[in-house]
Amino acid sequence: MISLVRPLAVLTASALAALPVDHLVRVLPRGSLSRWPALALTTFLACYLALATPPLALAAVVGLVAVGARRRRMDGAATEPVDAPAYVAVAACAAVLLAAILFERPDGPCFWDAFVWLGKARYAAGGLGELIAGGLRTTLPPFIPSGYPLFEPLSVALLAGLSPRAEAVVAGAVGLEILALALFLCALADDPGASVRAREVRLATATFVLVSSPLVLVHLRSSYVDLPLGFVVAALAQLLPRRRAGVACAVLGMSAAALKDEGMVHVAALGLAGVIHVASGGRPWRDRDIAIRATACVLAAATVMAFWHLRLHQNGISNSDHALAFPDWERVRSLWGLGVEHLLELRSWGALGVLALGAVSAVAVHPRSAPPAARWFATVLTVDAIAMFLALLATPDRVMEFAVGGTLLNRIYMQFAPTAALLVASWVSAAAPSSPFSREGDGLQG
Amino acid sequence: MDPSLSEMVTDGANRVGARSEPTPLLSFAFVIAVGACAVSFRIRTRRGVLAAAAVATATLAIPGLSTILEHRRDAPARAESSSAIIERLSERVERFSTAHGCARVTHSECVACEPVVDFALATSVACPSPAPIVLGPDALTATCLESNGTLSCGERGGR
Repeated sequence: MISLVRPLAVLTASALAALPVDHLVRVLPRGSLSRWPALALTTFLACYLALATPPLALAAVVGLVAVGARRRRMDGAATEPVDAPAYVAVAACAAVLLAAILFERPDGPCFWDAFVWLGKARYAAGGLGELIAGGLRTTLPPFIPSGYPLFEPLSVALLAGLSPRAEAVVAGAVGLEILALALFLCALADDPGASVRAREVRLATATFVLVSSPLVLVHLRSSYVDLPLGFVVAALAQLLPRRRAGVACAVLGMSAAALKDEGMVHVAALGLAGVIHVASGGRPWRDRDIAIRATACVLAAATVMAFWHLRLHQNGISNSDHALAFPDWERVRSLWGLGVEHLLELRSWGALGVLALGAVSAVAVHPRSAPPAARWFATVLTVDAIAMFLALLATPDRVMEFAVGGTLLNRIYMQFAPTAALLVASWVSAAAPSSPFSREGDGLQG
Repeated sequence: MDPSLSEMVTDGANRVGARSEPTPLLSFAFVIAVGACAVSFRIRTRRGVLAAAAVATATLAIPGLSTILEHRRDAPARAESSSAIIERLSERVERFSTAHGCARVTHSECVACEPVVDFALATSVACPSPAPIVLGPDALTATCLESNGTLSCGERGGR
């Protein structure tokens, strides 16, 4: 069992260090559970932006200060107490998932990409600036693929206390995973529009669906970035329809785009889903704020990604695996077949693929009787899946070789798993026996 | 080399078990899940449908859970020994690199060793003449020998 003292200490220190920012910016309502992990993530993101894209970091600080000052005027000292049962439910679900993360976890990395990601974090132990500078000079060790975003190794190195020891970087990766998990669970528990009962049912169902998916358990015990990215994307999907969560959405969007290049695809799809939702007169969120929040979130994420890629380009560095071209339509059939085959692989996914397909289909067939949250998550999943499919069609042939070789699609699906669990949970919470099957209490802000 | 350890490194996070490999447990779980769905159609109450769905979900998870909790090299009971084997190679390579200023792999027949060695060399600084490392096909589980400034792991090292 690895030591968690270091990452927990750094997480606590990050949250405390972010307190002044919290007072200024009011990322989330006071008393909100989500604000602590969100602030820790904001701290890491600020470090990353300051090192990777200093002008953008400066602009972000100015923008946040402006938003914070405006919000302070508008909100005064508004407080929103959080129901005690939500804390209990979060603690119970977190305990189940943390047990899965920590139960007899191997002391060191065991899977291919975990060595690569944690190798970068070890390299960063020589200095966070050195990691960024090395990434831009192509002087990262030649075996570390160049051109990939460096937010994850930078965060892991910070959580590892800049120690190059294997146990320390593994503990740092666990810390980042716990942070992403906390964001996901707290965003679920914080839903101000849902009854306490609905929140508890959703938390329990989402946790049950996730832990009954064997490959999710494998990733919980690994140091891959796909599941943390999935948690961040799912947290963003939950926050996007909520009022007063614009800054949090922007932070999550930027984090997703900085974690992996696929993150930008997810954020863009979420933005499009928000616009589609408003354009289609989706209830209960008729206000245009969703579209505005979604657009702002996409722009923030795209700016982070564009600045990083601009710096890569200026230094003659490219990530050939992620270079997009015109979609190769001849791949549609084989990619579709592979996608279905991977999704219905019962030993890896259990019932998750079937449940997600069933839940999306149920929304498509009976949109009027579907709970609003289920409609929203079904829209997000559908748009996101189409966007990712198109992105895969537009990638180089080498990526298709990965897909055929079985080293790609399950990892992409892993990024969708938390949102799929939310979709299933929103159906179950609406159909739970002691909860009336009505719009009331369905949540995600009525 | 132990094939399952090598498979764990190269493919462990990509899937739970071998693809398209039906087993009695998988077939049994499928039958139970279908049965639970059929029962739920008869029950027609929300509580019944949810219970049947939960049973089907849990049942379909059993084959994969059985694999990751018992059979894989990263299963709880075997994770420590697997991790120790990998760590042994990683530490040996890192020690060798530190002693010689830097090192690089000049010949490798061990695909699963590549990320392990990369991880070990992540902190080494570049130098004009890196010391050579030779990895045989069984380098992940075999011991390494140093001779004439070369680190040889596995068969090719002439053990």
